[in-house]
Amino acid sequence: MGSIGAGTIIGGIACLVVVVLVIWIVVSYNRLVRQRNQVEASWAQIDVQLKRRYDLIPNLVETVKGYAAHEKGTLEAVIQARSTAVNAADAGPAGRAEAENVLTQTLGRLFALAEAYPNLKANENFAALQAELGNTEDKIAYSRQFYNSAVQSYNNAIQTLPTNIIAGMTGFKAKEYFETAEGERGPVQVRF
Amino acid sequence: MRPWVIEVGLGALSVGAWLGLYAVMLLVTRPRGVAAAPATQDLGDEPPAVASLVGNGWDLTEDAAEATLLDLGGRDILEFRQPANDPTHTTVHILQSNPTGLLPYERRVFDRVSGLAVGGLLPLTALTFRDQKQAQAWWKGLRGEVVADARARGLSQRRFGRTQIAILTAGAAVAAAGIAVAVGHYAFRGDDDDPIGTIIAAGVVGFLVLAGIGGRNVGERDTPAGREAAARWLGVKAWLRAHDSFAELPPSAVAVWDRYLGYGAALGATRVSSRVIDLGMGNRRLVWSSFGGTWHRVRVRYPKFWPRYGRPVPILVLRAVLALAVGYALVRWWRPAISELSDLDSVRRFAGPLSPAGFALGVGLLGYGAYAIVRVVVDAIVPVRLTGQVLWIEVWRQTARKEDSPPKPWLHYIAIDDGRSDRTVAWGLPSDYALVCDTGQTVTVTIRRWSRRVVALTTAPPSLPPAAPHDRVDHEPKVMIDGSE
Repeated sequence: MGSIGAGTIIGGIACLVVVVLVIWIVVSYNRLVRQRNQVEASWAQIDVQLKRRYDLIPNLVETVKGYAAHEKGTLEAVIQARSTAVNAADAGPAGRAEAENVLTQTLGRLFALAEAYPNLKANENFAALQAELGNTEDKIAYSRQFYNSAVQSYNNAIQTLPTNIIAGMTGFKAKEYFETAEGERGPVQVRF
Repeated sequence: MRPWVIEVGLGALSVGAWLGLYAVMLLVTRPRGVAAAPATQDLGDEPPAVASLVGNGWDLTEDAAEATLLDLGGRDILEFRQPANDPTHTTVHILQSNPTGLLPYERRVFDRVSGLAVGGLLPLTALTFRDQKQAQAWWKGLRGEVVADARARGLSQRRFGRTQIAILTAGAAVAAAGIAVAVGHYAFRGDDDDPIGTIIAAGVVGFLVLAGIGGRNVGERDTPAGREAAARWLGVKAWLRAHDSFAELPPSAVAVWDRYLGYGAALGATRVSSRVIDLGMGNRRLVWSSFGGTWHRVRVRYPKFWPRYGRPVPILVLRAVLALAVGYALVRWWRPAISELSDLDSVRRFAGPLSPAGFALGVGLLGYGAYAIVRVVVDAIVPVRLTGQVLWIEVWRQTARKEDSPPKPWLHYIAIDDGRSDRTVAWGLPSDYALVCDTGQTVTVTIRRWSRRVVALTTAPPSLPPAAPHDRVDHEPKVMIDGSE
């Protein structure tokens, strides 16, 4: 049996390195794809909840009209904000967040207005819509957390070595966070 | 065929057939696999502990308790604060001293926290148990309560229902008849005075044993509603697991994630939080103490090798006297004896080193005996009183196992924190005293320092009141972690 030549050893090592490199590229690429899909899935959850909110607003406005029709300014502001938010559906997270924040503020004014109308406040339909909207707001908040968490993991992956090399070669781009309004951030306190 | 072959064979066949039937029952009633629903972030109505049960194949694990603890945080009943980067330094703060509407197992977890808390707070890692029996009883109770809730919701059922138990009982009767026939065959060919009585006894005992095994609770299984809920929860699990960073969240992240963290722990999606929270047995060498109003960890050493530890005075005096006697004998007679025997070749060769070695041993024994006598006397005359919190109790020494009696403990370890140091050495506690005190209690003991034996023990009410309600108070007790506040 002949001895193994140096060329064979070097060739073998080179093959091994190439195989390891290919495996690493495949694993890294698949991980990036998985993380991007997770970002998109999380965004879809936000989208579902926002649409749910859009669906509830017309009923709410109609209910309020029955008791406070002369509060035209507030009602129109809500309708306008909803319309802007619906039209911003194709905008990116930043544009959408801006429209949603405006809508949230106008809804806040609408609910504040209800305090001045005891009959409206006592209306079961209004109460149910208010509760449902509150529930949807909660779900939007959690969806936003999941989305931002997914974006953070994804952005970290495409911006750090060595996966940023794969991301650069295969066209992965950083995603935007879904930012909340400043006022909404206020109450959250984490003590570390 | 030899008669004993028939007897053993029939008995073995009867028992084997029944065990086969039992195995078939286990196979038939095993919880069926559930396909996960599409990944979703929508939580269901079930509490985390029940979600844990159905999400883990109707097997209740420690995740249920951890998840319930985190869920209490998500509902603003407890608060988790992490003062530094290390999540093991998290402290638990009681925000509501008497929360209402808790389910029995939620109440159990809350009571565990509030029972240990001092001034409304405790370190998260102080939740571990220090008594195996207490831990087992607590877990058994928790398991029963979670299972009862799951059954009440129609999500779980006893794995062996009435049908299975009836079949196994009938099978046990047939197997017992087989055993009775085998025993009867042996009794009739032997010189048994009362073969009928033997047959009946064998049949009844065989039936009771097999029926007893068949009637044992072997866990829970699925129901149609349970499978539906499990599929939903597995969808939630898939959603949470797909978020890489969710697994890394510490318990204090409850402040942001509310109930999601508890459900994540229930479904095995929170690696860090589940690692930090431990409601099992704690580390006996590093124990949390709240004695003096400040939570601090005490390192405990358990002496093992010195024979004086934990021994009563008469034994120690006897040993000292024995050492003196042997020492005196060696000093007085060893060298003359070696000299006398040096005529023998075998002794002469070693006489050189043997003679001084024996003499030195004698001197050493005399010294030890005298020292031991002095120390025992001082110990007996000047006992020391010590007040502190019991950190750990466990069996140290026990009698040897005999054929007709199990080993009986006669000495326990008792580790007491008297607040003077963050290190202590366990004392020897006569086992009778171990029955009247428990971990966490404040005790006053009379001890003998040299033998480290407790000679009297009195229990006192806790030096500090238990969990007091507070809302983010600034004057709360301190927690010292690794020597730093």
